[in-house]
Amino acid sequence: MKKLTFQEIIFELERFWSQQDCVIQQPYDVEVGAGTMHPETFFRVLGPTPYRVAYVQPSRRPADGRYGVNPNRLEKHTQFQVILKPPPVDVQDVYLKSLEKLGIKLRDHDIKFEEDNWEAPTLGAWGMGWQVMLDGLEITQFTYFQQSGGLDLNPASVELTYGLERIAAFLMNVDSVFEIEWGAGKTYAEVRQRAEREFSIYNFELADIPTLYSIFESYEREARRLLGGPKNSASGDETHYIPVLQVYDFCLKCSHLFNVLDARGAVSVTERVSLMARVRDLTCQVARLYSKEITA
Amino acid sequence: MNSGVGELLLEVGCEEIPARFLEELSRELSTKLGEFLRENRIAVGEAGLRAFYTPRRLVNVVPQVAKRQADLEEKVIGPPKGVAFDPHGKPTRAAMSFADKNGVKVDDLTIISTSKGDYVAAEKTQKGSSTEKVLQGGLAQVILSVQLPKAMYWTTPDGPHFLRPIRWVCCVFDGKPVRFQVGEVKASNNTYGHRILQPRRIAVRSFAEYRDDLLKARVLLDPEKRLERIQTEIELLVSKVEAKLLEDRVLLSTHVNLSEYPTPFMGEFDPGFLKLPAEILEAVMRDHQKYFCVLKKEGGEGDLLPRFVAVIDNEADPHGYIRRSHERVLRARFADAEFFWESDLKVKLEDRFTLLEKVVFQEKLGSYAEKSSRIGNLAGWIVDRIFPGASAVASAVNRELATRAARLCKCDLTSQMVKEFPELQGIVGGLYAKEQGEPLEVSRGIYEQYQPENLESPVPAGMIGAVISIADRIDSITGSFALGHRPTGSRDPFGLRRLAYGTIKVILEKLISIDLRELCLHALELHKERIDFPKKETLESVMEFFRDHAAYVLLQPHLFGGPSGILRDELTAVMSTDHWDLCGLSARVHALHETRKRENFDSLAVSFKRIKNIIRKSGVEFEGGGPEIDPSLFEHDEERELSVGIRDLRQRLIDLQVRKDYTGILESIASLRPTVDRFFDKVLVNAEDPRVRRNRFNLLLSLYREFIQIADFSELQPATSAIP
Repeated sequence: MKKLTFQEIIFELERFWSQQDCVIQQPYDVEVGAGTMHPETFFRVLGPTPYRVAYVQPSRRPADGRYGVNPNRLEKHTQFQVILKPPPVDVQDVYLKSLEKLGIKLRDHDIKFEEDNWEAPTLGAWGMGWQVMLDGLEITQFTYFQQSGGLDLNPASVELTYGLERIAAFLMNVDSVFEIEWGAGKTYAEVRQRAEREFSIYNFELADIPTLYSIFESYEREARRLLGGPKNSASGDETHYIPVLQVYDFCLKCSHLFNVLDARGAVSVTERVSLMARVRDLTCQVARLYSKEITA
Repeated sequence: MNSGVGELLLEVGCEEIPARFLEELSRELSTKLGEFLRENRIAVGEAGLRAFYTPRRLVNVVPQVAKRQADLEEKVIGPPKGVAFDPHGKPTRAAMSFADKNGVKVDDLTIISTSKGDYVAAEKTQKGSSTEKVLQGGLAQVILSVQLPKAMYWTTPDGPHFLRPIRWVCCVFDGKPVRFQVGEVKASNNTYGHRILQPRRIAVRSFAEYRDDLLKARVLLDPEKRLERIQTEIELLVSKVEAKLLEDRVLLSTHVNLSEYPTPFMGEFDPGFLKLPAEILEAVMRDHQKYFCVLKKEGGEGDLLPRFVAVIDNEADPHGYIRRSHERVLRARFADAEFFWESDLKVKLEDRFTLLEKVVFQEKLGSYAEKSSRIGNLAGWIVDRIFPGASAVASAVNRELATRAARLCKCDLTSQMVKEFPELQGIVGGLYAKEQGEPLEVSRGIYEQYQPENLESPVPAGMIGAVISIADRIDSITGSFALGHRPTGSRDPFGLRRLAYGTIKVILEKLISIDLRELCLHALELHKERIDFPKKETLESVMEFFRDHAAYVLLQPHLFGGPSGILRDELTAVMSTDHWDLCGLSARVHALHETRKRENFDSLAVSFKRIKNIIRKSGVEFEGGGPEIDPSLFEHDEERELSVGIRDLRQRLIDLQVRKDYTGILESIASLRPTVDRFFDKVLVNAEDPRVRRNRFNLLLSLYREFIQIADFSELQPATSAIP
């Protein structure tokens, strides 16, 4: 069996899912905590139109950073995200086939689908499903989306989120993600370790709390201004258009800033609840507006 | 075999059903199927209905099912006989039209007698249809009507809901497929083998074949067989290395419900990790990886070997790929735990206290720092009251150490270890306290604070742990009630019932004699400093809540090691007295149970009832203070005798109360019986002279007050006292 490099794993998954009629998208260019936050998931699961999409999404979890020292924890890890709307009846089998494409001979392994219900509070999104365990290692989150933006999804979508570093370390039989072979003769450490260290230093030690709060509030204000009444319309006429995608970008900005503040230890439990509620309020408004528009 | 019956097999094929719900779901489905057959008059043979399940299938087999529904015989009542037939016995138009409407001949009409007279009746027979038809028409609804703890949809919100998506339905009756449709899935006679090992389609004709074919296709249908396989193989694995397994029935049943073909294997880890506390290693293995822990064969609890047993859903691991991967995952987990252990230890628990100010216990009830202070206050209160002065057990608990443990008890919430392993809170704090040189009593108190986990599990071994366990729970319960969050019906989002049971169990088992009502009042006063609520009403509802839960526990003495055999009415009698020393309650109800068998008791209880009635009917309100008795108003010797008897009794009781000799108290009360009987024989309470009447009344009232301190004897049911 040939051993795939990190980038080859991505190529294989992209090829496989494009053969399953997925649009292959690019990572979103705003910081996100998970592939779910990419607009290609958040908006596409709303409304009745069938859609299939797959993409890589580098995902930032400031609190999980370990200065590039811990062999298994990363500030930014790489997710491969698939949305299947509506889910095909053989969705589990299709998913397992994708693992075979990565060189995993299923017969020689222990595959389990263990209950794991997923929720993204700032997106008003949740679903039911499993974590897929491969020989004791969680490699994929497999979810039947039930709600997003606080709206019942009709139809449901399946979301697959592969943890690429874990899968790569598994395939290459290495103990540390930094030993993963990225491609072109470079290791994961050579490509990513400096960034891990620098962002950890910033998130844990240097981030200026008042500044981040103030940026958070600026983005939130701008989002609310856009959602406001007709008087904000540039053209001044009565029909006011709300660019929901732009509002959503501001939500993502807020969400990421919240995560940095959290990693910095600046958020108390009560504040956490209220900040998340503020972001969720925005994303749910965005989802309602978008959903109304596409079903009109 | 009767050719009028056939075998019914129903298999609902699903995507992996969560292990924790599987058994319940299977039971629900077979209940629904049984009800469906019964309601549709489809006879089921003696063999009944058998249910099997795996994570991917819910299976019911009914070996003998009648091929036809039973006919439905119905008697329809028509007009009165006098209307239906003329005096000559000839049918009238009314009879003809009634017969016609019910599709029977006039000649076949019968007469039935009712309380209102004779009526005409028609006996109709509705022919049963074929079972196959009934199954076709109803099975989809049977499957979808199963009550689910957490349903989901996988097509559209108005499509089918189930615990996980239904992907196939295999249904065979009498060798033939039954056709129906569940959502988008068409039932057929096809099933499928193991997802990975034998994913082929299998045509089904009978249950026996089905089970054998599935076994060949690497599916062990029967959960008992899976359990047996896991246990046997584990036995083999541990015996090879001179070890034993850390028993874990919950984990065992998880694995039974997680695989269609479970196979255990043994893995190893670096013995260097054994320097970490066993509690932490066990939590990583059990809770995070679902591994069984392996102990030294002759060792005790916590004598871990650097091994584990995992269960895979596969036949074997010939290349060792699976074992190596599991070992690598465990190594990474242990390395994390080791890192947390070492870095957490660098910060003293004491220094974490200020961090607790940022950790919210409950928005309105404040931070964990505030909660810890309240726990400390309550712990001190308890210690002062259970061990007053220099009593024999005073040395068992030291006030200073108890408040020290209370102050530190929540500090581990700020540790990385507890963030990673929330189930280890308390335990981690105890381990850190010990490691950082806190006195042994303090570290053990912190360690044990969350015990007992439930009514069946052990209470803290040490007194400090017991005191903190009570203080912590009382703070949470009173706080929730103060905020108006109290359990209603089956809803108990804050788990207050569990907290109440734990409190009661600790008090009874550790014999902590305190006035629970006073303690709750004190706890409410502490909450009053932060939030506003009606104190008196809240206290009443807290006590009502505790009364119900205490009764539940007291009636099951095995739960706290109390004496057995007490009866419900005895408990009610004792609990009616509003005493809140639960240990005293327990002792009193036991004494009552014993004393009740003696001869004077029953008629005394009758007299008590009489006295209580007299007092109740009088409608006179009494303020505090003893009722005044004026001996100069006595007209009979029996009055005087009773008055003296009560006075003597009161004297004796004082001493007995101090010694908590409840049997002695009850015997003293019972000894008054002849005096009371004579009083009622000779004396009319309702005397003409209001002053005399009032005086006699007061005499009874003072007797009543002595009795009621022990038990409300009117609650005792006379019949039960005959039970030996």
